[in-house]
Amino acid sequence: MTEFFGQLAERASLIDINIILFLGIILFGGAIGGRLFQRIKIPQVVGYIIIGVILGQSGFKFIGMGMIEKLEPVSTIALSLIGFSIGGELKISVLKKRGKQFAYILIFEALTAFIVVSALVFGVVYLITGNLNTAIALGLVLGSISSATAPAATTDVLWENRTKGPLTSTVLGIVAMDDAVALLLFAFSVSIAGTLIGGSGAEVPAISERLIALGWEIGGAVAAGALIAFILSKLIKGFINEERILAFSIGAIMLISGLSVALGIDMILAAMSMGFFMANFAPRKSRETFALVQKFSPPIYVLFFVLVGAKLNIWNITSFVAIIAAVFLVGRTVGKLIGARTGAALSKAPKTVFKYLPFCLLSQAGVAIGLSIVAGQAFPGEFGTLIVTVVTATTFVVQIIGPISVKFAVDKAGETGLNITEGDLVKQSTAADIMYKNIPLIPENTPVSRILTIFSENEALCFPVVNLDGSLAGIISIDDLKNTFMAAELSDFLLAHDIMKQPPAFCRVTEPAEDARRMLQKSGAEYLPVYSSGEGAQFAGLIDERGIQLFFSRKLAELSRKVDDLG
Amino acid sequence: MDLVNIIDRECCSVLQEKTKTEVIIELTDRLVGRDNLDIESLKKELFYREQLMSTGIGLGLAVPHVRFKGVKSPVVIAGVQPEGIADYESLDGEPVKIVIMIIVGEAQHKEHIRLLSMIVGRLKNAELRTALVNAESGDEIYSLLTGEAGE
Repeated sequence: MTEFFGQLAERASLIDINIILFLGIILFGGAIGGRLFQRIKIPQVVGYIIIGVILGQSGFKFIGMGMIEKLEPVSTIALSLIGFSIGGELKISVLKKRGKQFAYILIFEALTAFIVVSALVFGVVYLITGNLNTAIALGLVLGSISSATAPAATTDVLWENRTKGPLTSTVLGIVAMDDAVALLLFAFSVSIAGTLIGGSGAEVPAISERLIALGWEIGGAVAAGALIAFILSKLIKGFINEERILAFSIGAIMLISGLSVALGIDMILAAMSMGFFMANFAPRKSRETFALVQKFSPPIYVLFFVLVGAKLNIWNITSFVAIIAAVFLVGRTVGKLIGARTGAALSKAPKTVFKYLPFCLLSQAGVAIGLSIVAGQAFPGEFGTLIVTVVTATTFVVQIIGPISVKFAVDKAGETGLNITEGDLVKQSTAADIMYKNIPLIPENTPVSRILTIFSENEALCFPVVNLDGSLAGIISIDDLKNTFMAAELSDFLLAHDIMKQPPAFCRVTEPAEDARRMLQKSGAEYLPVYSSGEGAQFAGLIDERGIQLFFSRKLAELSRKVDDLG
Repeated sequence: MDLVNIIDRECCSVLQEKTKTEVIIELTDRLVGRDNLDIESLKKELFYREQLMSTGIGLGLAVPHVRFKGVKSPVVIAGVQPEGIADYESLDGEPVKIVIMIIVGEAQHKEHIRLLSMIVGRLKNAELRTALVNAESGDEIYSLLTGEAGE
């Protein structure tokens, strides 16, 4: 602890900056980067990472390696939050519906990438070095690392774009679970590589030992997640207070990630298992929990992705590394493509999954780098360093390309913007969206008998009355019309002018829907006229509560129909 | 709602004027001083309403009516012109002989319609119309309208 603060102080004094200012700069810079990229339609996560690259090892070195190591807990928490949220999205009903697809695709995309990368790397390395053993070992280790995909950047794009549908479900199911497959393949590969190039003081455990450890890593993670989920759902059962639920939930997530580190179990999987059990066995309370955690997460994600970018150093790349990295990238992309499509075709997955899933499997991050570092420790010297540098280089590329290609895929698959609640809709909409447009205008001198016809022919319950020069004079609602029923004999003499009312308030088309609705409620009137924006404002439409509800229920129905149509 | 409570004796008269515009001005001027009303604006409103559609609804009857800011309780002003107002542009083309002006507060939507309906309903009675046209004083008109005679 003292050492930590000592180093921090040293670092801070070196650049005359304190840690909070430092975090502030990272967070702020990352957020700005994300926003800038979002503007040009590139996923925000790419912005975070590029800011990290600029500030980090490849750029100004403002974020030093020491600082990155010190901020490791941020990454741990971020990955747990991501795991927890993914777990929450894996509903048992979805698994029942798509379980077979998941299994087929998972196995094929992971294995095919492994085989293709292994074969290609082996071939190229053998051609260049002529060393058979090194070629096989390098091929196997890089091949196994290539099978991993990073959930973080991928899911960030999904959440940013509020996607929903078969592709989204499949991606969420796969990206989280193929880490388990990657770990398994890696364990085999390292053991074989160890026997091939062995010696050199490498601590390569026997395969059986590795497998037992792996069983513990995976099984322990699932069990620990289930346990904490059980405790958390019991604890928050009676809570209504959001702050308290949030505190307990974040506490539980930190507990699980800390426990994972301490017990040596897979952290993402543990958090995922916790999210999964919460969402499926205590669904009512957990929905709130997930919403709160989602709200709490963004700043941690920004920090996490900036640090991911900062860690990458693109300058120690030799031409040999570049060639291997290129082979790795091509092999992995082709392998994932063939594997995912084979799995999708065999399991009869929806067309969009077959077509676009490969684009969603490109990202790599923590797990790949983590495995390369483990390999680096297992094989000290040139071999280990080569693996670390290659994976760093390829990670850099796929971190930038991955999210962009995910965005492309979900757009093409038509799943963007389908995961929306009424609350989101309200936030996204303006007065122009929720108003009745193209309502017939009633001239002031229209007799009530004619107005009755207009009401019966249109769905709106109120209509604008315009005077002879076309500007808004007032509004007639169904209530005003009802008043005339007691004087049916007057219906040819009473005019729109006689029964219209002056609206107590009005708004512009650009007014956010939320504010317009509030104005309507505050005004106490049944309707709120909407004018076009700018000078010489023209009457544009009318808002009433029924119209607002109609708009939202239609929109939500439309979205869920779209999801259903996707398969 | 009863006309007795709404019509003032002073608001009933045999009209001097014989053209639509002059008659409306004559009737409106009876309200000078009442509730501090802006009489000029009131006239404008009444003429604007006539411009949209004549309130001469036939049978020699006209009911100019508006909702107007500042009017506290509904006002009815009645005038009779036995010689007829030829330029009233009534719907059946006949000259108007009975003009009953109705002015209610801006928000008195129901009162407005109820009053109109009540007056039109009452004046469907041909005997009453004849009696009104033949009335010689404001008092007589008042009695006829509020039902003090007639019954």
